[in-house]
Amino acid sequence: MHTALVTGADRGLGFALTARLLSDGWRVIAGRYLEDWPELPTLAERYGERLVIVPMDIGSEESVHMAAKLASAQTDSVDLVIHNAAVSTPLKDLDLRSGLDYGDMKRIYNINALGMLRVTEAFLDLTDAGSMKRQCIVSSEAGSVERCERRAWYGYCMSKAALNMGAMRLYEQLRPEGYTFRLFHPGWMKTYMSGVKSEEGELEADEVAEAAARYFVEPGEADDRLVMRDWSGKEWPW
Amino acid sequence: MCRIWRDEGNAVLAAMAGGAGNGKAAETDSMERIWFNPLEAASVQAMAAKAGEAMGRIDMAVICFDRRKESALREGFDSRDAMELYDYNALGTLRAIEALLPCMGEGSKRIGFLSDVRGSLTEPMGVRHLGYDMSLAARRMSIQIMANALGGEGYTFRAAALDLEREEPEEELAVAVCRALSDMADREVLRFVGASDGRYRTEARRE
Repeated sequence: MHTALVTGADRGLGFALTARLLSDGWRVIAGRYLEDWPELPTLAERYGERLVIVPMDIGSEESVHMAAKLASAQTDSVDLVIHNAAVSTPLKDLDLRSGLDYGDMKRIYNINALGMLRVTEAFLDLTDAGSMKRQCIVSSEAGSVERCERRAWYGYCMSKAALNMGAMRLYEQLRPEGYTFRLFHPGWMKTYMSGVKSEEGELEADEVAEAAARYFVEPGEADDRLVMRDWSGKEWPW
Repeated sequence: MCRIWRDEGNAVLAAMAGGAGNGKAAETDSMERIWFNPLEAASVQAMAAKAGEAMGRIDMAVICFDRRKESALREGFDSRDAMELYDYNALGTLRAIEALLPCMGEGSKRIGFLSDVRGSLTEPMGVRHLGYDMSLAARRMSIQIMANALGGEGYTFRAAALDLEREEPEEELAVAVCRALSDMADREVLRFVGASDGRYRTEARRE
């Protein structure tokens, strides 16, 4: 049985991916940020020991290391990691004329860009022992410098561009060790990233999770080339 | 670069982010000088206020402060260091531009950046500067958004990426970069100028 780690598994795409992997026979370590959100415990009732819920705030070194310790008590290896947790901000329309909120920009960077590295490093012992050695990173078209037409959203876009750079450097380092990578833009989804579910968006999390799970799990040309693809399979430039 | 532009007859305010740099700070003796800390909004605003006072209007602002530190996975990657590099290199750039904009509306509206080729998202560069490289990618994105936002007001942006690990900041390079950054006849909103660009050739220097 393969084992996956999913960050931000409470709801939205993270939850949909967790449910999908469980129904496909995987064991899932689900990183939970929201203590009171009810969906993961409901899933646990159905799948029993195949779902391991660990508290995890990817913005906190201590929390991520504790999560890795809890996971280590349950499994000797992790085959696939899905770096899904991310945040947005209600302040994204601020610009240089109105004045930027630098504290908020650091908060976003700490989670969206640095969180992936915290998790990767803390779980290296487990992923080194895994059979797939696959790192799947949920990024965004907002990180594509080449396609960027926005006139604001500084903090969010900068965090995603940095995340893509982080993925590129990890690919350089870990590919020779047998790791493979999937970089994914989920499309315009109805997300909870601002705290409550947005009804604006073209795609439901379940639809995206189906495409994402296929992309994340199956072998493909992305094994030997770092590339960002969206839910429809389209490649996005850096 | 300060000296080259001054010798061409421009008024130059040398805003120093930190210490004496490469030891040639004395070359700015005959210029207006000010020290500031890109991490502190109050310090950046004081620098901009002094710039406005001393220069009246600013035609071109050039951002060339950069802090680099090694950090790599499997070697105790420190996210606090990575955050500080983001704060200094990426957010410091935005703080400076935000503070200087009010002095630039009546000028030639050119904003230049001197950065490192490591900020390129298309080239493998090695893994020893993880946090630094991420801060440069973030800055690169911010330059694109600034160009989108301010290009309609007549602002133009030039970002020159140097190979800081291999190039010495010598006269020939400084002249080429000055030319690339301050060519006001070129009104394209944004250009990233690098080794593959005809305006200066770091590859040739390496040979």
